[in-house]
Amino acid sequence: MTAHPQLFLHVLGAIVLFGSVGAATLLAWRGRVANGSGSALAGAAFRTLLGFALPAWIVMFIFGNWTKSKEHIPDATHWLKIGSAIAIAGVLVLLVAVGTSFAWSRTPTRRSLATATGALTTLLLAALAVAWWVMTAKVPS
Amino acid sequence: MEVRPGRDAVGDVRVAGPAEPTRRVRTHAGASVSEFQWLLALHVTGAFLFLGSAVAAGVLNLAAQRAEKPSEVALFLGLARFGAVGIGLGGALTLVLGLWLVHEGGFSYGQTWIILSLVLFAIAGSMGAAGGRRDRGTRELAERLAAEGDAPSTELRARLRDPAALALSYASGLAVVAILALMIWKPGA
Repeated sequence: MTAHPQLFLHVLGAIVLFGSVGAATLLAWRGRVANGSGSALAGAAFRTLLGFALPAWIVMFIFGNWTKSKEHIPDATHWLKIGSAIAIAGVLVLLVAVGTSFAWSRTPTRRSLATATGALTTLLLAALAVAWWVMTAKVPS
Repeated sequence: MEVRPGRDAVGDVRVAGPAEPTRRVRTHAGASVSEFQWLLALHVTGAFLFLGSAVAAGVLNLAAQRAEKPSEVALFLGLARFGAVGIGLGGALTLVLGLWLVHEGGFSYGQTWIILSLVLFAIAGSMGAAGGRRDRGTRELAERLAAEGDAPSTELRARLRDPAALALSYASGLAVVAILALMIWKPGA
């Protein structure tokens, strides 16, 4: 892989996505057991997912595709197909998590929404870990 | 010079190093991932943990700055401690495996990008630690104020927006982004 700004921005976007989803995960699981601070935690989780995670996903995806074009990587490459599939499924999970965190911020006493947000963001973190492993080790090739 | 791990027709991994433009690192018999690929993937895992935890800590610090009540500030800064743990673990993993990769990839420890990365790593670590100590003081103040009635405090607000603490945190963040850039471009390799 040749070094160029698109690759740098793809990796930076992925890191910010991972970090912001990680922060939202902490906020959501803490919100599940919080007494009286649910509103602050829910608002912070929603703002984190909407203001950091979603833009980071866009940066990661756009510059990832740009890198793929620039490097002329074939569409059939397995590690690329796995990474792309995780990115596309991941944004759907992310959008649902944005929705549940928004609903939680509107009704902070509903802990089931904190649980749903925490479960979705935890799932997304695990999927991101698989994606960076596959795309770094480039397996299966 | 750049590292180009990738499989060729016989399943070997091509690695470009300064001494040997194209060095072959044979995969273990029957294994689908070579030693170099394992190290690289684990190094990147450490980097994601290191940088991602820094992002998480930054996001939680921003949430603390927006909070009104001291109990909420204490809650957010308390969660940011998980970020600090991730920074420590990820940083250690990145550093150890990164140095191993330098050897495994046929690079020299004296190359510009490696020296600069290590210097920036030390700078980021010391600035982040200094910022972390200030955050701990702020969290302890917030916990005390929360126990004393949880009324908004101008002192706490000032501590959260302390320019010196913010400068340390942002400078530390910039240093790790610069390390990421060095890892990708490898100037002087």
